[in-house]
Amino acid sequence: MERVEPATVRLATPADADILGAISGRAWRAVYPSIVPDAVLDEWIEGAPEGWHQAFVDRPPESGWRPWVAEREGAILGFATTTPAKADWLPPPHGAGELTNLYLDPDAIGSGVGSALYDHAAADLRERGFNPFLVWAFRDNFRARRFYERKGLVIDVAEHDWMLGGVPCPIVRFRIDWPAPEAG
Amino acid sequence: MTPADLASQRWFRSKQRSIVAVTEVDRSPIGPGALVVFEASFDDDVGSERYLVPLVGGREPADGEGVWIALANAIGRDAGIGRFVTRRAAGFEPDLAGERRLAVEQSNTSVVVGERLILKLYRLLEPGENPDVEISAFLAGVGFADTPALAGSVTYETLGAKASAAMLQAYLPGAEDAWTAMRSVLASDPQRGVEMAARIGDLTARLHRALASRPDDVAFPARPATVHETAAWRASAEWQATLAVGSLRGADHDRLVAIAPAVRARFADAFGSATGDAVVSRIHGDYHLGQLLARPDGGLAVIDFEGEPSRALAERRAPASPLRDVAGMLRSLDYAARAAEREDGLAADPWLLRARAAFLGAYGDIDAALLSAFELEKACYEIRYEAGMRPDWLWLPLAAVERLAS
Repeated sequence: MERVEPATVRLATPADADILGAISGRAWRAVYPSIVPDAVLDEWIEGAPEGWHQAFVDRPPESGWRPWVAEREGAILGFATTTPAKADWLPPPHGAGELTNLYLDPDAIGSGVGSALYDHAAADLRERGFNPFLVWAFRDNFRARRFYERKGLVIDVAEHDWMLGGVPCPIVRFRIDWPAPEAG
Repeated sequence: MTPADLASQRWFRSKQRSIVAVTEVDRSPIGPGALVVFEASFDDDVGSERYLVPLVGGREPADGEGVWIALANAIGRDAGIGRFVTRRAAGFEPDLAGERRLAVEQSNTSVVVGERLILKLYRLLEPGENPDVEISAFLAGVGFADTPALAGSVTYETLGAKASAAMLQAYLPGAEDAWTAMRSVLASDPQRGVEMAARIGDLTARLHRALASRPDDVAFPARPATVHETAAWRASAEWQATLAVGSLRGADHDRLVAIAPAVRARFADAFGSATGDAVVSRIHGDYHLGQLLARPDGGLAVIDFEGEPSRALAERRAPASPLRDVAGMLRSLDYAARAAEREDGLAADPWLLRARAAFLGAYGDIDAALLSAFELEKACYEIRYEAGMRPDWLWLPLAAVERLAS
C-alpha cells in the first residue's frame, strides 16, 4: 500500500452536515446491500443529509453526543460518533459510553482512517469517564466485526434482532471494559 | 402511582417522554410510612427510570408525621432500611426532633430536620456515584470548610447497581442563596455587592485548590488538558454559537449573524493557544450565584455539586477546566446586574467593571482569552435557552455576546 499522510480527527460542526450526509450514503451503499433490506437502505441514504442537520439541533453539546470526522488534506474521509450509551436495543450497563457510528468513504477503506477514528473516539469516551465502551454491529458485517476484534473488543450480546422494514436483521454488541485509570 | 401522577411531579425528570407504565419495585417501611421505589417505562428506546417516593398512606409525607426524622435518625444510627444502605459521617449524633420541608422544590426534595441538618432526597435513583455526595465527602476529607458539613448519606443498592438516595448535611440557619442576597444588596448598596464579588472570587479559588489537592485520587485528577479535550472545547463552543443563531428569528437573528465571525475568531484564538497550558480537574460544574449560600454574618458556602443535570452522570464526574466555573459565575453576576439595572436603577456597566475586577482579582491568575471564550460559549447557550423558555430575557445574553465578542 502506498504511504499516505496520517488522517487528522476533529469534532464535526453543523457546517459539515451535508458532506457527512453524502459520505453516509456512499458508505452504506458500499457495505449494507445484503445486510439491510433494499427499501430501508434507500430510505436511510435519502434521509442522511437531513438526518445530520437535525442531529446537530436535537443533540446539542450538553447531550454528550459528539460527531468526529477524519480528514486528510482538507477532505473528510469518514466519521464516528460517541455518546452516553442509550437503551436502543437493550439497556446498557450503567456508566457506559457508545460508539454509535463509524463509517468511511469507500475510497478511504484500508488507509488507516478507520483506526484513527476508532482510537480517537475511544480516547474521547474514556476521557469523559464512560466505562465500559459499547459498539453495535450487524452480525453479518464481517469486516466491521474483524475490525472491532482487532481493537480488543469482545461480543457480550451474541444476537439481537433489529426489525428493519419488517425483516429481522441480527445485530451483535461489542464491549470493552477499561481498567481503572492510573493515578496522577 | 399512575403515569399521570408521576408526570405531574416537579422532580420527575423526563417531562418530554411518554410514560407507558409505572410499577412499584420496592417498598421499605420507615416510621409511619415507607420508602417506595417506582419504575417508569417509556414508549421510546432510552431506558426506564427509577424514582424514590416516600409515602404515608398513599401520599407524600407531611411535616410532623415523622418519616423524614426517621430517615435522618436511621442514618445517624447507621441502621439500613431494606435495600437502602446508610453511611454516617464521623461526628454526627442522631436523636433529632422536628422536620420542616422546604418550599423550594426542584429535582430534589429538601427537609430541615432538628433545625440543624438538611436532608436532601435524590428522587431519580441514578446508578453510579452521585457527584454531590462524592464531592461533599471529598471536600470534608481535605478540610475545605466552606460547604455544609456532611453528616451522612443513603444509597439504594440492588444486585447490579448503587444509586444515591439521600444526603444529610449541616443546615445553615438564616442563610439565603447568594442570588437573592446579591439582588437585595444591589438595590440598596452596590459597593457591598462588589465586596461580595471579591469574597466569591476568594471562595472559588479555595474551592478549586481543594478539588485539585489530591491528584493521586483517581476520581479527582488534576492535570494538563489533553489535545482531545481542547479540541472538544472549541468544537463545542462553535456548535453552541451555531445553535444560538438557529434559535433566533428576525432582527435578533440578524444581530447575531453579524457578530458570528467575531465570535468564531475569539474561539479560534482562545482554544488554539490554550493547548499545552490549560489544566483540568473536578469542578463544581453548575456554578452560579444560586449555588452559594450567604450567611447572615457575610460568610459564603458552596452547595449542590451535582453538575449540569442534563448531562450524563459519567460526564458530570469527568475533569473539566475550572475556568468554566469562573465563567459561570461571571455570567451570573451579569444577570444580577442587568436585572438590577431594569428593576432597581443600578448603573450596570460601571458596577460590573468593578465587580468583575474584584472577583477575578481575588480568584488569581487566569488565561483571560480562555475565560472569555468560555463566557461567550455560555452566553450562546443562554441565548438558546432564553429563546425557548423566556423570550423576555433574550436581550440579556444577546447583549452579552455582542460585548464579549467585540
